[in-house]
Amino acid sequence: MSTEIFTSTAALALKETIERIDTDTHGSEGSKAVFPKYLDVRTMSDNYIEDYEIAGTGLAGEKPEGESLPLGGIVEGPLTRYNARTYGQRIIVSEEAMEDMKYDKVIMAAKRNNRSLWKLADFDAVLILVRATNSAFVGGDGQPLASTTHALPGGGTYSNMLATAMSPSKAAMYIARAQLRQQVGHDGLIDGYEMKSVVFPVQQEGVWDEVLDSAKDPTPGAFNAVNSIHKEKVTKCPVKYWNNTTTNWMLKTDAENGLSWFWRRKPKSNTWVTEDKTMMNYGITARWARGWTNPRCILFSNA
Amino acid sequence: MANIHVYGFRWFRSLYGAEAPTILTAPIATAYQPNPVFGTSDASNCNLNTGDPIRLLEDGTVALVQHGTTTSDGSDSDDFATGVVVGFPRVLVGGFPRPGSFYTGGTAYSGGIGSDNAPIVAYIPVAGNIFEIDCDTAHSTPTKAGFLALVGGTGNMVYSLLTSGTGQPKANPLLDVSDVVLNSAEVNQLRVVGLGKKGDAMDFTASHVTLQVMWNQLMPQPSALLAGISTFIE
Repeated sequence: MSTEIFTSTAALALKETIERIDTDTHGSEGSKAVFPKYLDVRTMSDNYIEDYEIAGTGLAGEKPEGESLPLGGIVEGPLTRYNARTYGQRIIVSEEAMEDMKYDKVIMAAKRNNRSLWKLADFDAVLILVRATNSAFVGGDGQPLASTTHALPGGGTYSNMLATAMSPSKAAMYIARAQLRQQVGHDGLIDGYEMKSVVFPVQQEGVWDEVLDSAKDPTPGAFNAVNSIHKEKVTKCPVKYWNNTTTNWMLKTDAENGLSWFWRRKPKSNTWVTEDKTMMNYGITARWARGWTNPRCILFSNA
Repeated sequence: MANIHVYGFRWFRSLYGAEAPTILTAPIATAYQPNPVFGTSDASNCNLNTGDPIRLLEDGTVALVQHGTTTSDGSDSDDFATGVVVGFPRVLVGGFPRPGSFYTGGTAYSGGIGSDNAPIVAYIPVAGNIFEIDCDTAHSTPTKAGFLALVGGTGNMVYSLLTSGTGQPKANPLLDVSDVVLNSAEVNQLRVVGLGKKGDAMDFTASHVTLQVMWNQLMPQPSALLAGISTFIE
């Protein structure tokens, strides 16, 4: 791969003898991105932003006649910081190559830059899923996204993983739904969350169609039974970039401040000339941060 | 997941802030046949491609740098690099000159290196420049931290001949990751200076993790010659 594009880099494009240029499709890269389907996309206006967890006040208590009201208090949890990082790329093209290449689709530097950056965004975002159980990549509470020991501010822990990993199935969804509906809030009391979407590697798409779309039980021999999951209207989010597993999956819940993507600056292109070398530079940069604040946003199956 | 292998050395940045690298050109001798071991002609004969490292010979032409063969004292001048190929402003195709993306090994031409037939290679000097290169195999410590711990170490380049794709057979230079040493008196071809631009998007358990390197055995030598490598210009 040439790091600069000269006439020799794609010499066969110097004459109009080619019928078609076979290359990747470019254009509308932003609309093809997958990460907005499983991350909540927002913007940020500072170099870094912070989310702060506060818990309280637990259960109220009985007040015997004439005695003081029981007290409730609040306690702080961790700070979760999102640091904006800058990503980008540039392509250098010689003036001669610009003049002599006969086909727009050979260089199309701006489009190739755009594709590279949006692809990187998807690859960067999916690292959240790839590393969901990796203790080297933790959130504000010091735990990876999926953990059985997420810390409660007032003490104790909670889990956002299936106790026993399961393959996609109606039974798995029943267990997951029950676990989610007994999920605890920040003060450790049962709060309960609803499943909104299931996020999975594309290899599982067929089985999730069966589990979620059928009004009847998808289990062979039980087709007259009700598929209780169908009414939940759980949407499907296949993630083609999630390729370190074919068996893991997770439910995204309605918990607030969950998986997040913050644009500090959306992709911005510019061009300039290195005058003494008469080389054209096509650059693109963007700044973003991604992560999660509230791990209750998911229920993970680490199969 | 497998890492996408990108061929050869890729210019990454200049140490001195140049936004585009300096490009130099040199002719290739008639009938020159690149091989991973200089002066050898065997089944590993290959073409010269963009991304291959080359060195200046003492006749005005260039040759493919051979893979690191002398790890102890760096005394073999054939291991030294002058530049990395970025293109061929002139090669012979169908017997006539035009720009090309690779040089076909063994191309014979008439008129000598001063003629209009001589293949020309464009290259980026290795001195003062950082390049990216893929590792040949998975690392024994297959983590991001494991690779970062290689920074500062030196190692040699290894070739893994590619017999498919345009320009084949291609030398396919890679960093011999198992050869990278730290705190060693060895004089090796490359010094690791960082992790590749793909960063966290790489699979650190697989082969072809990209590292940033600088040439450690380079010519022209920018500093005083050391004892033991004083014969590098033979």
